[in-house]
Amino acid sequence: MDFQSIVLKLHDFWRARGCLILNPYDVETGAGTFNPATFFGTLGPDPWRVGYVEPSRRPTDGRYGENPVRFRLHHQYQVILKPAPADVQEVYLASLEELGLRLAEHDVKFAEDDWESPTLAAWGVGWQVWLDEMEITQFTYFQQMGGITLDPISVELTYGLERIALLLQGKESAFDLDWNENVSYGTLWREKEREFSIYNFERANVERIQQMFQLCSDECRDNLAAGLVYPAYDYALKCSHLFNILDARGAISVTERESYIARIRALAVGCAEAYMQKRGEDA
Amino acid sequence: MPDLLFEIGTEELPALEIPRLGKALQEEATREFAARRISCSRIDLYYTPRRIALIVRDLAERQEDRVEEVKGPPAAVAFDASGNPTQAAIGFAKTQGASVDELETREVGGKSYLYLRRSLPGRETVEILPEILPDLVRRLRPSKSMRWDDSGLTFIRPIRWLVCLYGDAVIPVRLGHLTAGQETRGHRFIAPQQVTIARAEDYEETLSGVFVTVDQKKREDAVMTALKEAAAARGGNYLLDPVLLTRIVNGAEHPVPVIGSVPEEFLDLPVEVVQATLHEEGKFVPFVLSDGTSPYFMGFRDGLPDEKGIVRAGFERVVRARLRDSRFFFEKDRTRPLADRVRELKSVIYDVRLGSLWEKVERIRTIAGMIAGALSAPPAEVDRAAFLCKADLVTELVRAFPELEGTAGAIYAKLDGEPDPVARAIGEHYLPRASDDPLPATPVGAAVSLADKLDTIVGALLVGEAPKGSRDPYGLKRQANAVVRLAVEKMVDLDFIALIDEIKESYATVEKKADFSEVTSFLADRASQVLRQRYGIPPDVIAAVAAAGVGNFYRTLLRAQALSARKAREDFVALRLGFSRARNITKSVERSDFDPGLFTEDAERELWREYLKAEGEIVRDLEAGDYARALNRLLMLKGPIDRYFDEVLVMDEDEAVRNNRLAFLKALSDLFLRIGDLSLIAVENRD
Repeated sequence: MDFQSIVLKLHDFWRARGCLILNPYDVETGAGTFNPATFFGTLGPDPWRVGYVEPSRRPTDGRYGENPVRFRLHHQYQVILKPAPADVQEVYLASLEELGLRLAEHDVKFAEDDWESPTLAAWGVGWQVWLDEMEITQFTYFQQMGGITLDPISVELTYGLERIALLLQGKESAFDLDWNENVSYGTLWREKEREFSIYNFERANVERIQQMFQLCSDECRDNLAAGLVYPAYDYALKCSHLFNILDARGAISVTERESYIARIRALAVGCAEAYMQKRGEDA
Repeated sequence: MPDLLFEIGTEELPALEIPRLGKALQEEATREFAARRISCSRIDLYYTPRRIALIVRDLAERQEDRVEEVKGPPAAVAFDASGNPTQAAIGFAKTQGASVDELETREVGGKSYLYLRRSLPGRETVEILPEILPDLVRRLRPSKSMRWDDSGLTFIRPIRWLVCLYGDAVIPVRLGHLTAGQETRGHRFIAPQQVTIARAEDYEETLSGVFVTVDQKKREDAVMTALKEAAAARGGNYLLDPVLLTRIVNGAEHPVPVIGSVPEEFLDLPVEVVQATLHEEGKFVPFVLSDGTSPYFMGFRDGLPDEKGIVRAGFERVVRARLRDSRFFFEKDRTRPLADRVRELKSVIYDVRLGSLWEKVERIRTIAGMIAGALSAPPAEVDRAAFLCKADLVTELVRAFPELEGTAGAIYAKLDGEPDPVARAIGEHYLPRASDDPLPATPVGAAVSLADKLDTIVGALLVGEAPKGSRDPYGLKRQANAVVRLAVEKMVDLDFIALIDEIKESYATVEKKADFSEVTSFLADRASQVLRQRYGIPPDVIAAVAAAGVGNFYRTLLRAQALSARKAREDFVALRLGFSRARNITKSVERSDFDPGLFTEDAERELWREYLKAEGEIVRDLEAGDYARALNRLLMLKGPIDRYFDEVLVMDEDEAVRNNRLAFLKALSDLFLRIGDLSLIAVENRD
């Protein structure tokens, strides 16, 4: 099954289970969790079901397109189910079958892996799902988001699309994957991996990125002061991504690192609180 | 009497925590049934990743009856002169809901009181179970709790079903949104349907029919048998630590072995690297052959035997991808010699208050240099090993596999052509990591290990990180214990407390929250602890030898052992008495220079002569560390000392004579104190 067919299968599977099928966010994110459809979607009492692909940028994971399974950008398929259904494990496993994985022939384990994002002030409890000891999904019951204790609880399923495609196509390098019958993953992504790795590790202008971080942080705060939650959140996301670039560039010392994380966290918490306050006023 | 089954069905529990939770549930149940007076023969515990179950064997059908006694007013006020009950008796009976006829009189402490005895019949067990079982679960304290629905219930993972059967009767225990029944679930992939358990007694067998081995011991046996059979059939030894075993046993409801091969292309990697790669995240058990290669491994599938080899292929794919990473790291590391990396340690923070790792290495070099001689370790090799000992922390391999610290350094140093003792010392210098670990085998390794640990201890204490209660984030107690153990077992004839004084300069720039006296008292305290706990020295002997200083840990142990061996002997007890007199009388005396010309009594001249003979020999014995001989020599002073105190009046009227006697006794007492303060030895009372 080619890469794009996997995405379409998952869209179909989750659409049939009441999920909105949304798009990747158009601001850089490190994971599907940062997409507002998850960050804001998990807050508050209203039911929420959504599925989308999230190209996730992790500058420090870049390997110049030379490592077969590590990239500065990989693709997550993200599902949020609120409230968490009681049979969510079974439904998730059915989605793997739907992709053509015959689980009875494999070894599947739910291995403890509690998730935490210090920058989003969020944490949850769950597993890495291992198929024949390869991690293919992060499975989390969110407990907190943006510093707010969640009620009801959402469950997050994050499929690692490259990993799953490797299994389904029997390949060892992601760059050899078929995106469709004519175009390979490598054709689409290898050069981007190489250039972004050079940029992130060697070229990014530290001083300018630091200025950009400050500007985005200020912009976020001004928006929060004006009660504009969504524009504020976009700038919080930009701060997070700029921090990741500085980190990859080796421009952040151990002590600075904590203060950067605390700053982004404060912005995320501000956004979540403003969102909840607004919801309260609307209701 | 029937058994009771209580099964908590869950989503996959964290493998390493299941045993603790299971035992806690078992203990809570044991306590609860005892408190409720419901007897049982024992409580069996079973657990898998998806369930924790108790089977309470031969559970009584009802509580034991109980007799209740209520004390009432004194009999004196309860009956009038003609023996009729007064208002006091009537009122007591009324408030207890009894009649006056039921009251009896009993003597307590010489006075008579009214008593009401009544027997309370026990309640039916099935009535009580729904009240107590849910609370057993609620009382568990997992390391992390979560919510998953709106019931308010919390646990470490969602609870999805409950089974509660007393014999064949369902007990509808309620917890959260769940009500217990007799339906459980089989293996998630082989037998996912619901399964009915007919009777509590059938539990293990019924689940075994749906491919769930509920008995953790049987799963462990299956795993160990598979490993042993593979080792016997293919040769080699499996490398399995207890944590990995727990992960495997509690990571599957039905573990079956799957053997995979390490591709030949990776067999030239150092075997430690292959092992660490396989071991990573607790997935695979590596096997090592006698030629040092690690050509195969065993994983465990949760399910049925992998007849088509699909799982094996999957495992091998994971291993191959991992080993490819490891080879990449290894080859990248090998592009530069280890020595070139030392300067990179300047940019790695060891501790913000104590500087970079490079600064730590400089301190280790200084300290190791001072210790080398006592270990007869060649100073040049010690310095080279100290210089290189942390360089592997900036290699790719150690970043990927932190457990290879030291090991990776040793491999690289050897490949770089460093002298063999240097390479070995790098690999050994983290030893002992735990109290039962082996010590470094080489003197160079011991010197670097001691220096590294001392620096960690001194640094952390100076910046105010002394252990508090059970909180010891830097592991300082463990490290100090290791220092004492190394000093003692490697026979390091060195005063470590004096050494601390000599290394002060190395911490000149550290902003201190404590001073060096805290370091020395911490070390002295740990030395006492280790002598007692590890070497069995009694506390009174430790106190006695401590008076002569404990800084030389090795010699302190020797003195303590010599003293322990003699302390119960009768002549020693008498000697101790004589010494105590000399010591007590001279406590405030400072001078120990005396003039034999002022002696007047035969007894004091005799003791003086014996003292002169003994002193020279004892000083030599002490220097040679022959404390048994020194103590035996002291024992020869027993007679003269006893005679002295019998015949000589120390506190003579003539001040010059008196002071001269005190000074002499002070000198005598000081000689004893070079071994220890014998007066602190506890003497058993023989009367």
